Amino acid sequence: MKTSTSPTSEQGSAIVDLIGFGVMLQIPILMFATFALSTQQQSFAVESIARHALRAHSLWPVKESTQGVVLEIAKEFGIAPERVSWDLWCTPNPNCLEPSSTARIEVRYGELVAYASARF
Amino acid sequence: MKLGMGSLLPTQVRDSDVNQQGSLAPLGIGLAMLSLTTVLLILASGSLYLTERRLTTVAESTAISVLIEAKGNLSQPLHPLAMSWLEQHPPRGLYQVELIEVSSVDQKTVRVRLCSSSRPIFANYMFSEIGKVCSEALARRGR
Repeated sequence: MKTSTSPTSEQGSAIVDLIGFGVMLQIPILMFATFALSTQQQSFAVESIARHALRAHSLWPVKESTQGVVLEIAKEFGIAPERVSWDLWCTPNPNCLEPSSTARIEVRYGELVAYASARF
Repeated sequence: MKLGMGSLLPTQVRDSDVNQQGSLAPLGIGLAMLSLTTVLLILASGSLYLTERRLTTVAESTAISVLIEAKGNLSQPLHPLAMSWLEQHPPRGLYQVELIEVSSVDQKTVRVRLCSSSRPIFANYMFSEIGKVCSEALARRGR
């Protein structure tokens, strides 16, 4: 391996540069990309769950059925269904059974939160 | 010293070798920047899509709300009805949502168009507010 003691010299080993810039820089970028894309995929999943769960609840306002829809969509998106939690508020009727009632759903997956509102 | 043709060729090759000299650091940093830019662009496009989906959800709920609140009279001004819904249920995760259009052409269908500022990656840092994302939704009255 060639070495140089002069700081202005361009001579040296390409292996050092390859490891330094090829691996040391590319690996953190790859890690960042993986993490960010994973978070984004989870955001899509949570958003989709909120949207479809509210629709499902508007068609059949039974919590067990809506929970089933939430779990099903979570599975389809490949996220852990047990980590998904949701709350639904309906006004004026808490069961969303009255016409013209308003429903709002909040779906959480870790730090990610998605909301959807609808009028029946 | 007399040089023949045969002795010139190796000299040219050596000149070429000299031109190839240099640090690999700029090349490595350049490639890393290229990779990072590609990753950020992919993230930004995904974020734009997510914003559009959120906006569509809000537009749909607004259109349905307007349809219900209008109580069958879609010839009245629909803008206040839509604004009322958006004020009661402010869209979360969206920035500067604007109601662009609420209309009903055939007195049966409500069309709502919303726009929002796009903040693709980091809310206050890079690529901040590069443009607007718009989405629209239709809601139709039954018989």
